[in-house]
Amino acid sequence: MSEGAEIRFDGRVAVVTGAGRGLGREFAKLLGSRGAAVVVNDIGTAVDADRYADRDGDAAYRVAEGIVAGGGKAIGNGADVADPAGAASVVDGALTAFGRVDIVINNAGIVVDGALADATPEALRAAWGVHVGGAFNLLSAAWPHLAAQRYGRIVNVGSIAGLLVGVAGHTPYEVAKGGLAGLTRALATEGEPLGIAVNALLPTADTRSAASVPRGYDRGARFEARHVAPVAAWLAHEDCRVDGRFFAAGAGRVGEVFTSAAAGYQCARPAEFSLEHIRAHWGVVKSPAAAMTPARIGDYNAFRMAIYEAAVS
Amino acid sequence: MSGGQRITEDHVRFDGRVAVVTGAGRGLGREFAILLARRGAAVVVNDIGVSADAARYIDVRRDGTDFGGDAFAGGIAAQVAAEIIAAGGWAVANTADVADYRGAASVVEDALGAFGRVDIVINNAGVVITRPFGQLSPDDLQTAFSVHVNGSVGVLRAAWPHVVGQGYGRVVNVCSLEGVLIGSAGFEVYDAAKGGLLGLTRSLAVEGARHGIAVNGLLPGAMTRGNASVSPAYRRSTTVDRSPSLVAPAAAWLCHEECDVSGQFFASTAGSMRLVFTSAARGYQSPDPEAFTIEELRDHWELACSREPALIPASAAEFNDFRRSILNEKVVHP
Repeated sequence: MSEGAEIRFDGRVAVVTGAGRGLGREFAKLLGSRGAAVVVNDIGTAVDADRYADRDGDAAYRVAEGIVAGGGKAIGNGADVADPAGAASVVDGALTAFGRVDIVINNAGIVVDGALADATPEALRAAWGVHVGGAFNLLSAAWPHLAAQRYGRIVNVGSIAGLLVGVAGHTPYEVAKGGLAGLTRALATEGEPLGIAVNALLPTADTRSAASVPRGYDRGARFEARHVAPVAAWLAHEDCRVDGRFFAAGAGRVGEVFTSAAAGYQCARPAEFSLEHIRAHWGVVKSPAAAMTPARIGDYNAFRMAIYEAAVS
Repeated sequence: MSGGQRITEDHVRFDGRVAVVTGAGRGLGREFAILLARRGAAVVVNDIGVSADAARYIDVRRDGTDFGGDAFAGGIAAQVAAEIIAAGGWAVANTADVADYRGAASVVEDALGAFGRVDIVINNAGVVITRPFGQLSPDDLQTAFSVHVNGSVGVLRAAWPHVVGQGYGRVVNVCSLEGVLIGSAGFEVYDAAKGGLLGLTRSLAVEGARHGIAVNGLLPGAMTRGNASVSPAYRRSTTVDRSPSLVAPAAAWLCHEECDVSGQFFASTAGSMRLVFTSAARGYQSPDPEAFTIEELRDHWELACSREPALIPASAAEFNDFRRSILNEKVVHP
């Protein structure tokens, strides 16, 4: 039990994509139950690329109705964020209905399975278009408003697959989630002076999207979407001050996923650096020892230059 | 044994290997191609010979210009190939656009046609698009994706049956510190594209493991046309020699049969080479996931952000074991 005050989002307006089912729905419901006005976006399709074009549902509207029935504020939106005009309509909906936008949770995604042989241009484009293009489009539409009010909280829903580990047979998906990680890093730096925090959530939950992914954990053992929602909501809160970070979350666990640079090998006479130097020092080259985790390029450059000057002087 | 033979044996060599290097007309790619060739590899030197910046790249594409000819920059791929041949090496030029799937396939077809096999793929071709986020368009994202990601996938899909068939291959995807280790303002589409290569590298390392194919990422630091237009942090003049040639040994080593890692990322600049790696921290585990709340997370946020202890997982299974062991500890937090 917590002894602190209840965390609230009163007066804040949130946009959650892919919120008709699964994780996105839990994110929208939790934010709505804590006072945020929510635009619930979902095109209401199946999660796989083949059926992506078949829109049949009004899932977003049902979730919005549920939030309103519970005393909250919400509207539904059925636009496709992979289309720039669709993404703009999501932000327009927030502005029209609630007058502002503060929080963007980029959760919409499709699972495009396939080994390299199946990673056709069409498969890559489908996955990239929703995961990366959708986030890019939505944030492009929201950014001027967040920058003008000097406040924003963005949560990009990434994956451990592609960022932390590789999983065979999901190439288009991992390419897209890797792309979203790169977008997150750049936007975090750009948003910092504007009061816009950009972080990523790497969830594990038994959802429709996860059904096809081979896993090593016990299926159904408390990997529920609702166990991840507090993490998404916290990253969307004004009291959460981290920026450009990645958090794996599932079954009530939250742990950072972070990328570091090791000290490695610096040739004392750089102009003579050769293949033979690398072979001779391969153990040092591939060692993760004496690593640092930079927040910005300047941190890394200082680290790199200190090693250079010590070795070359 | 003569002294000459002893030196040859001591050198890291690529005799009998066939490499394709994209974007090899200038800068880093050129140095990669020349070093591999100098050490005995036969090389397909691919470059469309356009400007490194996206504006001109798009203009050229929009004009419908034929990339098959030598119309651009005097056929810089041909110049590099000629230089290699003049020095006694093996090379052919290819001027196809890898962003086009037929173009990407032609790079591998040229390797097979000229040299009978393909062992090494260095995906180096790229475009640099940097602008404040509000000025970046969906077209910019599409362009970066097309060259960096689609181009790399296109070449690899064409090469894959051959490297799988021979049970041997070495792939180097030229990523960037940008998008993989850090991010910078204005680099949104570039970092997204390079992040895409990160995901591709991890995925294909797993897929290639049982076929003798190593897939790694290189994060180079060099003064080239590609980064001449970007932030002052990259341009700042120092006494440090950041020539592309000082990165070439790192790229070549990752292509060698003695290189025994896959799915790894290495930064290299000015005669250095270091591992860039991603860890998962233990973090905070709620003793009762069913009752997990935002307030509970806020109250344990310091622990959730702690980077120790952490795991560098070699596989998804290792991460799953790590996660499961934490879940099963049933620790009670104060």
